[in-house]
Order: sequence, then structure tokens, then C-alpha cells
Amino acid sequence: MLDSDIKRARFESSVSPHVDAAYNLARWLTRNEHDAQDVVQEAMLRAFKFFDGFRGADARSWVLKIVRNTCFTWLQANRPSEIAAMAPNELNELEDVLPPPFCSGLADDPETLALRRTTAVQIDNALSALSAPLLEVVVLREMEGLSYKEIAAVIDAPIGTVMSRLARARADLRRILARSQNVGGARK
Amino acid sequence: MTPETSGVLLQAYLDGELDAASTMDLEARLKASTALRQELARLAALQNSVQTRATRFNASAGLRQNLFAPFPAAQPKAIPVGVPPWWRTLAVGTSIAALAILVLSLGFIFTGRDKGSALLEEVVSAHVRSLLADHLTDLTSAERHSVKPWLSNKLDFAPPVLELANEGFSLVGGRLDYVGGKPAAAIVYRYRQHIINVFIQPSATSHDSSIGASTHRGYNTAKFESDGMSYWAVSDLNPDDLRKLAKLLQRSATMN
Repeated sequence: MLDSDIKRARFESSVSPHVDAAYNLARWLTRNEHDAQDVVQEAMLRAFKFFDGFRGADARSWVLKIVRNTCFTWLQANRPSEIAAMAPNELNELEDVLPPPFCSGLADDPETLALRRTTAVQIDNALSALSAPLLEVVVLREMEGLSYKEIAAVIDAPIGTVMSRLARARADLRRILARSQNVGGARK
Repeated sequence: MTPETSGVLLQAYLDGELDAASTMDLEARLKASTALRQELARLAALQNSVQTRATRFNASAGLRQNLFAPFPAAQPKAIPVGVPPWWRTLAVGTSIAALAILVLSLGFIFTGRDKGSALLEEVVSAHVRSLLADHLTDLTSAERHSVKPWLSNKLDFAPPVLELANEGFSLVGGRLDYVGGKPAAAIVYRYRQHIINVFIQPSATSHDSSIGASTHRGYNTAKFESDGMSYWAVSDLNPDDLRKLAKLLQRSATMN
């Protein structure tokens, strides 16, 4: 009946399909349940405030962008090192992104086999070791299935940056997983 | 093709982000190079493992409920400041306000019930907001002798504040709130683990009324009018205990 009721109903129907995606992103970036809940609630209050300005077709990217920014504000206040980790020499470190030297050999090489055998715990641990700017692109791409363009909108960066961060994140994940599996293998 | 470009291209290919021409070009290269195929297989294995095995956290039912409960119908409409162009905002605000007044007054004329349910919505929202925003009390005190004067100083009425610890309702404190377009006192009590907000403001009628209980969005409420004041008790406490509190408040109000 009141315009505020209508706004709230519209807000709820636009946003509620994306609450899990919002929470998942916040949960990975803050690394714990309690802070993730706080961040999501804070983000939703912000989203409600700015909802009048939202004309969009893509509520998911809009919500994720606000959650993501709220997460980074939170990280800035609580764990600034995780944000600063990569920004300055992003470009200089492109070499790290390079895949290992191509080697000729069998179709199923040991790394491929090992990557297929990873456990859920190993994957979660490897993801946890990534810095926030790398982690967020992996979460948005692999768990939420966003396109490069959508990720670029969420993190407010060019598509080229999305691609290089994804590449870097995947290279890091491979290194971390290789290490954890070698350790696991040595114990056997 | 340098290894660097091939790395990014392979990923884009894997992610389904490569345009048709580049895809054909890359597929020709893949056919020709075992090493490139091997690298693609590694990336695909990694992607598959992350997609299928990484934990995807879901929002709890409690969080979900909290997210959509608090958005206030009750929040007083502040005049937007510094939103350009200001005259347009003002014009829109005025017409919305005019519409709201029209709708509200129609509501008043035709049914008293709509006003009641809008108020119910407001007090429940105000209750939820008080729990969410980490702003339960403006003044935290179990002493009614400090809560009551504090609230009386801020309001143009003196809300009754009771100490009911013997009955199990301990006084937590007081807060200023805003209900039905008017300032209200919110007296906060705790019963076991349950927080109860008792909203009090001068009544529109001079008639006393009996306790009316209802449930809204999972919260129980008890309302009554007594001695020129309107009382709303809101909590997740069960209806019987909430009614018990309402009775205690009512009795003390009529005794005054």
C-alpha cells in the first residue's frame, strides 16, 4: 500500500535469488561465518538504500558488486594486507602467470591426473591461500558462473584485468595443489 | 603464438569466452600440438575440481530472514539531501507524500484495520531493526529510576517503566524510536533469552482496550490502550508469556 512497502517487495524479489551468491562471496573473502553475515547484512542495507537508483536487468551483478565492495571495505579495515598483496606489481608478475614449460609426453601427464584426484579439502585449502583479488575472480567464475564481462562489472576493472587475475589465480592454485599433493604423497 | 598469449587464450577457450575466429584458430593449434593439448587438459582438470569440489556456502535461513525483515516501512522519510537535481527530488518526494497521505486517509475513512496492520508492520520492523543494528538501547540500565527520566526528557510524555525482574522480565534499557509517524518510547525487557520491545506512545483514543494479540512475520505482538497510552509489546517470545507481560504492564498502568 505505501510506497515503502512496494519498494521493499520489489527489493526482496530482485535480491533474494542472489542471497546465496552474495553470502558465498562474503564467506570466502572474510573467511568466517560471523563476519560474512555482518558484511552481507551491511551490504543489503546499502543495496536497499541505493535500490531506487537500480534500473538494471542484472540484479545478480549489482548485488554482488555491492557485497564485494562491502567486503573490501571490511578487509581494508580488518586485514589490509590481503588486498594490498598483489596490486602494485600486477603487471610485472605476468611471468608467474605463464604455464609451466610445455613438455611433450603422454596425454595424461602426472599433473593432470593429480588435479583430477584432488579432494574437497585440498581445493578449499588452496582457495583459502589466495589473496582476495585473486580469490574473488575464482569464486565469481567457478562457483557463480559469471562471464568475464559480468566479473569485470562486479570488480569494476577491465576485462583484461579479469583475465590476467584468473590466469594468475589458476597458476597459483596449481602450484599450491602440487605442493599439498607432494606433501601428501611423501607421507604415503 | 607466445606461451603467454597461449595461456590466456587457453583459459578463455576453457571458459567459453573466445570468439569464433580465435576458437577456430586455437583449435587448429591444439590439433597440431600435444603440449598445448596437455596444458588444456590440466586447466580443465583444475577447473573441474574447483567447480565440483570447492565448498559453496549457502546463506542460513536465519540470515535470509533477517535480511528481508528489517527493511523498514517504519523508517521516517528523511528529506533527501544533496541529491541533484534537488528540485526534482523535492517534487517527487512531495507527490509521493501527497499520494501516501491520500492513500492513508482513504485507509482511515474506509477501514480502521489497515492503519492497525500498518502499525503492526511498523512495530515489528522497529523490533527487528533494534536487534539487527546493534542498537537495542540508547540507555542501558536495569534501573527504572534512570530509564524513565531519561526517556521523559527526550519525549513529550512520560512512559511507564517497570521493574518486573521478580516475574522474570528483566529491564534492559530504553530507546527512542519512531512509530506511526510519531516518536515512541521503546522499553526493552529480557525474558530468558528473548528480547522484548515495548513501544509506548500517547494514544489517539482515550478509551482503554483489552489486550489484542497477533503474529506478524513470525513475531508475536500484544497491544492495548491504557490510561491514554498505546502499548505494543513485540518479541519472538511465546504468546502466553508475552501476554503475561502485557497484563503486568496493563495492571500497573490502571493502578497509577
